[in-house]
Amino acid sequence: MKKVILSVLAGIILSVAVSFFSHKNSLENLGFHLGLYNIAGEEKAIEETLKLFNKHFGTFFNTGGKLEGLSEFPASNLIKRRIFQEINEWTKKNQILVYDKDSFKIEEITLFNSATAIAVAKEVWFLNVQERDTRKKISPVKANPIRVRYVLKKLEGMWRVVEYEVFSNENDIPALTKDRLLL
Amino acid sequence: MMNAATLLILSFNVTYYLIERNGFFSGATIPVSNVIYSIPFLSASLLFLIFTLLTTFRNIKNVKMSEWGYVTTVILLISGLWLSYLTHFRGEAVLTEGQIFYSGHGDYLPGTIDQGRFANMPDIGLKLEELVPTLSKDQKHLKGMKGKFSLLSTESDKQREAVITNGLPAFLDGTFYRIKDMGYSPRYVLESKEGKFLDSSFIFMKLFPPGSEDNFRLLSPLTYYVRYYPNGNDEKNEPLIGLRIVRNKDIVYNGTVTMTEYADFENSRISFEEVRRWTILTIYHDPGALLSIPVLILAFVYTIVKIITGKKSSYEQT
Repeated sequence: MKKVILSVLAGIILSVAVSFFSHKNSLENLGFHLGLYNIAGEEKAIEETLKLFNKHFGTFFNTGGKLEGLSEFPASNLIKRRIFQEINEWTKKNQILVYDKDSFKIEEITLFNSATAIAVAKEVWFLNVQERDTRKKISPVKANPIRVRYVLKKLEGMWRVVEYEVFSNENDIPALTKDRLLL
Repeated sequence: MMNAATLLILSFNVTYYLIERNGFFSGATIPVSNVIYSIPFLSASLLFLIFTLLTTFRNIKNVKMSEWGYVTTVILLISGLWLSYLTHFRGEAVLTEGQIFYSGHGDYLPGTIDQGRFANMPDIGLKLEELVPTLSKDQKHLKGMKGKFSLLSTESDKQREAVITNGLPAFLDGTFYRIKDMGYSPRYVLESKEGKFLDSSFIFMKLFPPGSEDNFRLLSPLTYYVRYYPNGNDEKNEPLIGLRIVRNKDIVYNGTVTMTEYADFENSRISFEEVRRWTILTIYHDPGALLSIPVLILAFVYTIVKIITGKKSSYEQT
């Protein structure tokens, strides 16, 4: 009987070890499952990431696409491409779209695992189009109150925005489907 | 029949399967096929087979008839698992009503093809004629789904009809088929403000149940967020599209349009001309499963019969 118990125990220990070493961030993921994860610390890190994201987002538009800060811009390449694609469209018309942030407030952060999270933020931006060379305003200033749902992934210890959806304050935010999380 | 080594391997595989499926170390649950085709699981299974054979042949003179049944089951199950690993093919394709599907890598959903080293892609041609969903009373839940298909063949002009559901897989010409999920594919038409045609296409979107939102992007930095209400809303009793067009963080259009109605934005306009249903067709070809599944069922039935007859005899003895 003792032999049987020892064999079963050895099998269990071996499987735990193999599974542990075959995944990245095993300890963090286990901690998350067991509720031993520093959720408050991660939420703070996500908030800081989004502040940095929006700071650079505005700066890229306001400078007409200067690349300063691109390396520390916490976003996936697809998002960077989408931003600079629009900036280039404005540049072709010798114009820039100025994004002036008025307010930014995080309403909700949800961690799905140790490396995937969503955050919903209420933001107000003032937008106006200017001539690129003279900075003369060529459109009235438009207030743009929005709610943004960010999908974030933690890559090499840093949170990055991999997708974001924009809603008006009148729109309800639909439930998030699993495939949107890019798990 | 089981010695310490086989018990160790069995407990290894069971625990490994449970840990991986629950995603304790991976952060997300891992699909069944990814666990059973993983190197640790396959290796342990092979070792289990080897140890079972060694134990049996070491005591070959003392092996009872029932123990031969157990050994044969183990051989067939593990051979089936390895055969499945080496020759299985699984792929998923999105089919909109009226659409024809031919097997070929380009027609499958990206990232859904999973095949063994020696697998052949099944030679398939079929057309989704009609998708018939059964919805709950509030129209928000899919209770069942039936897809009427035509099977196309390169060898003859005759078409065969087939019905594939989201329940038990249909087995046709050695391949399993099943459908899952349902959504709507609206066909957009993009034009310039002056009415010059720019682009048109069906886009498959996850718009079920009504109120769900999905988005698509074309070549511009615009994102089109769409919701579909097939029965309209409180004000209009006709199909409606909820549309929001966003350029990075600037909402350039936000409203509801009826079918064929234009939504004007910036220097363009967009309309939705028709909406069709789509489903995901899962194609699964697996010679290993054909070997393992009957054995598994037989083993299960045998165990149940043994338990029942065993109990009966003990009852009779009292």
